[in-house]
Amino acid sequence: MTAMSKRRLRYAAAGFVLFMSVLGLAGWVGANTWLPAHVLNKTGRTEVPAGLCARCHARRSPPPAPVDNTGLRYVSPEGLAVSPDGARLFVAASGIDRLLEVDLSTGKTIRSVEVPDRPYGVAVSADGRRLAVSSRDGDRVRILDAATLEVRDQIEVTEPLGLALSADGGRVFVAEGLGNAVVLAEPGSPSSTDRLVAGMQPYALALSRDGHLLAVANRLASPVTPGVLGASEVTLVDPRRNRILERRELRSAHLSEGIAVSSDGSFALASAVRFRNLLPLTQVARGAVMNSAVVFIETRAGGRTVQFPLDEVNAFFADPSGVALTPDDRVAFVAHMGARMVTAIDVRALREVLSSREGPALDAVADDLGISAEYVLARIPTRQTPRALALSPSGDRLYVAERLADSIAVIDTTRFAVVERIDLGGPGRLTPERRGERLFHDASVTFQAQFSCRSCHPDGHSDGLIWDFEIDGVGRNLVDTRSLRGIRDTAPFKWNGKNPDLATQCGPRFARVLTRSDPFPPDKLKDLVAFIESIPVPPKRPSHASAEALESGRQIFFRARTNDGEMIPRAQRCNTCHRPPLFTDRLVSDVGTGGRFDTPHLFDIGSTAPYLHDGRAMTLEEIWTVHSPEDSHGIAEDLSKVQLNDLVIYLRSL
Amino acid sequence: MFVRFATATLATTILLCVTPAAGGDAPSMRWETFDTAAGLPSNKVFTVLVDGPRVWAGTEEGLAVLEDGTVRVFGTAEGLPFPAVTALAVSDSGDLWVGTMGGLARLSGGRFDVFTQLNSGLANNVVYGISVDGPAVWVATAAGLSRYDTRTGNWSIFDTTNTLMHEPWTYAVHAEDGTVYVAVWGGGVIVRDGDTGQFREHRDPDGEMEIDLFRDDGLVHDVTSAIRVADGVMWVGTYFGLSRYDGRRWRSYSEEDSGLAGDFINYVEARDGVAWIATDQGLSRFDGRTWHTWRLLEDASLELRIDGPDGARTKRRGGSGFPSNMIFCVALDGDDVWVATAAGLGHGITERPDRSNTLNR
Repeated sequence: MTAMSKRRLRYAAAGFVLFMSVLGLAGWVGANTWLPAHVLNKTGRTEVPAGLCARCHARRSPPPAPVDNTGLRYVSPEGLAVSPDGARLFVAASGIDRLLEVDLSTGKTIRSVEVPDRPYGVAVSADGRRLAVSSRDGDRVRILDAATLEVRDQIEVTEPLGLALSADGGRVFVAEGLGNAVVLAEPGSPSSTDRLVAGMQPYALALSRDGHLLAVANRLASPVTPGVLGASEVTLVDPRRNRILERRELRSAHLSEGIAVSSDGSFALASAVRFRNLLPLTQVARGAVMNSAVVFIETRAGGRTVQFPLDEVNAFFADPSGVALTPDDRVAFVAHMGARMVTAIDVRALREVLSSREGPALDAVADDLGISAEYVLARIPTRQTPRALALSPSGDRLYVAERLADSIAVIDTTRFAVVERIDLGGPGRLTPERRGERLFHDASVTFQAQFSCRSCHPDGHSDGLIWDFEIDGVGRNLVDTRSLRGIRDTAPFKWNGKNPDLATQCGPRFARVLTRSDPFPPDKLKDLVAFIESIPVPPKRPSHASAEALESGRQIFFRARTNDGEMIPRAQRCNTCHRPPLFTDRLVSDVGTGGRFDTPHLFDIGSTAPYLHDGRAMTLEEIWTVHSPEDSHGIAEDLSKVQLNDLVIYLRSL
Repeated sequence: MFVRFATATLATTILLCVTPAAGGDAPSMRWETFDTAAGLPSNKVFTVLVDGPRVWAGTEEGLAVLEDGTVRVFGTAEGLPFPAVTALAVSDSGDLWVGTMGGLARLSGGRFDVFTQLNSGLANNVVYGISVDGPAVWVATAAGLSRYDTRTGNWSIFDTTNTLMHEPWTYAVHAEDGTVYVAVWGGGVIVRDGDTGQFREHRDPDGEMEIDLFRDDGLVHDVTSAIRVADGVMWVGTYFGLSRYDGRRWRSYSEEDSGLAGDFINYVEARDGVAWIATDQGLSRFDGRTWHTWRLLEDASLELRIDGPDGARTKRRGGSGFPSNMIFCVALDGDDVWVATAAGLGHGITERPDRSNTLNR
């Protein structure tokens, strides 16, 4: 190397050092002046670590759309109905947006028709001429000609779920999930449509053979103040007069997803999960947090409503769903999604318990896991996620929609065994999301298979309960169940915001605290996270509010000044913490509720009551009218009641 | 309960049969009273509603329902948000809407759902009137008119900031086929067009607070307290008399120049061209020609006063069973009438040869 070259090299090195020094100096100055100012300007915070640029600038795409982003579409049978002649099975295939018609003599799909927007429930009239199919995401019930599968009429219902048709198909009865109502309609005659207030999220309904009684199972318990035991209800309706007959309270029970009415209409049977959310979750180890039940409802005025456990001591059968009752009223069947099982129940034995006990002794039945041996006839294993059930007209065959297996199990109701399986097709291979979805619905991942992820997050949503996550068995740590819909890019997780990602959230610590079982192996945890990240936000529904009210609410949400014209500090504006597009800043905040808690996103906020970390606010209004002392949850004290209503309307539109 | 109910009722029921001197189709009525002895939670009955075989009474101490000869009471322990019940309405689906001095409630299938100014979009907890029109529940409150959409759960408020209201106190509301009529204390009547959402108002043209300067020139007074629209006619009760508007012309009625029992009007009901007016001086019935007024005299006897179209006045005295002259509300029940008063719930039974008493209604 020549002297010239060495000199150049020294100059270059010196230049590089000088450049790096200047760069470092500029960086240091920037990090201590411009960056904090930038963070303060955008978040209103001074304590946010300025170096974590990714916290705000990382990928923040809108929540996943309600389609399978892998491109594979699974059949996912949800609803079943058997034709009156027992020859055909109609299947609402929610994953492929079709109604399938299966020839039961061959087990083959002979026809199918497109039913967009997630077909969910299906019913066939007793005369076999009419079909009704609900589109859960399309807010529509279609009435089809059973002979041609052509659509004859349509009825608008907000999130239609279970449904039933009158014997002649002239009337349709629909559980309106988001509307908390039961809709009674005559297709072709919109003016005849009636809506009756049901319980929280009516889910399944059953019409008595004589058409005199409509029994409605409601899935969620009404929000109650923390520390108060909640209840859901079974709503009994007179469909001839379009009147509520009675509301039967299911105390300490919810997730009622199936219901059947006896042939004479004298009783109904509904599935339910009996919850004990006032106990700390340490009680999982003692089998006392939740169990499955079938509810016997005497339908006469003032009749009894008794919860019968379906679990056994140290043996649980989680997530009861569909219910079917044989035509002779002797045997009832309940599908357990989380246990991959169908339970056969001796109805006469249930009646014997009812006739032999009364008062406190009868009340005690609900918590006596040992009593199920008196009436459980059989446990019939199925494939993944048995949900809907349908019996053949003679009652000798029970059809089970195995939702996550894309198949229908055919059970011989005298031998209590699966005798045939109808393969509905599908991709044939499992994506990580599908594997994760199976895990999500599988109770075997929890201690004694007591519950699954979906037990608290039905449909990836929230059960609306406040659970005591006290891990030491002392004191209380109340937390409202959060929805998992659209949370993909909203890390951190957990109400205290301490879990940086879903793998941590669902990882070993979670197993120790909640499931009390072995943690998910890494590959399964990856699948589970893939599924949770794919849970979509439901489609936006029309607000039905005036455009002025919506716009007013939007302006309040994004406002920077009070009604008096005073500047609102950045940290106390709605859109600072609930920053679009995800409507969360992914930070923890103190909103005057006794600590710093993760900012939840606002998608679908209208259906996630109660609110705040411990569910202390029963409604959105209460966040500001009751639980925001000193404007601790954003500046709202100056808002008029009209403006607060507009803000709530806007929030519910997100 | 039934024995107590029946005993009290029989004890308070005395026939008063009247053959009016004018107005040949006028009612001949006997009265019975239901009070605490009959099982009501309070004698101060603010409102009454007839729903098929049930009669609902809103009292100062709770809600009561009379059905099949029994009285059942609902209080705060049963889910009522506040004891004092001030307004009642029933929806097409059979839900009962209950206005109280502490919020609004829906009684549906035995379950109370409570809406207050804190947990919902209700304008104010003090509810004076309710009217149900399809899915919309209109609520007149002390801080404006609220609308609750039972399909969507959305709340709207109409007050001085977004309507023609000059004052926020809304005392009564009547909604029908999308059109909403509101009695605004000190602000006359405002009417909301169901198609356009626009408001128009009816005010006292003379603007006088003490007198009605020009008769029949419009609303008799801006302090309105009651409103009812029936058969194309709007009846408006004020604290200074009654107004009638048929879409073309106004008519004014006062105690001084008509058969009206009193100028301080609490409630108006109307059907088939006949208006029933609840005042602080008794109950009046007006069929467009003849006035019939029932009121208690100082000696506690009941008087029926009849003012014919020719100005002739006749009076009949006798009997009892009429609870009080301070009448807060009136409800029609076929040929019968129910009155909510400061001294119990009154039942006026139209006398017909084929009718016995209605204890077992």
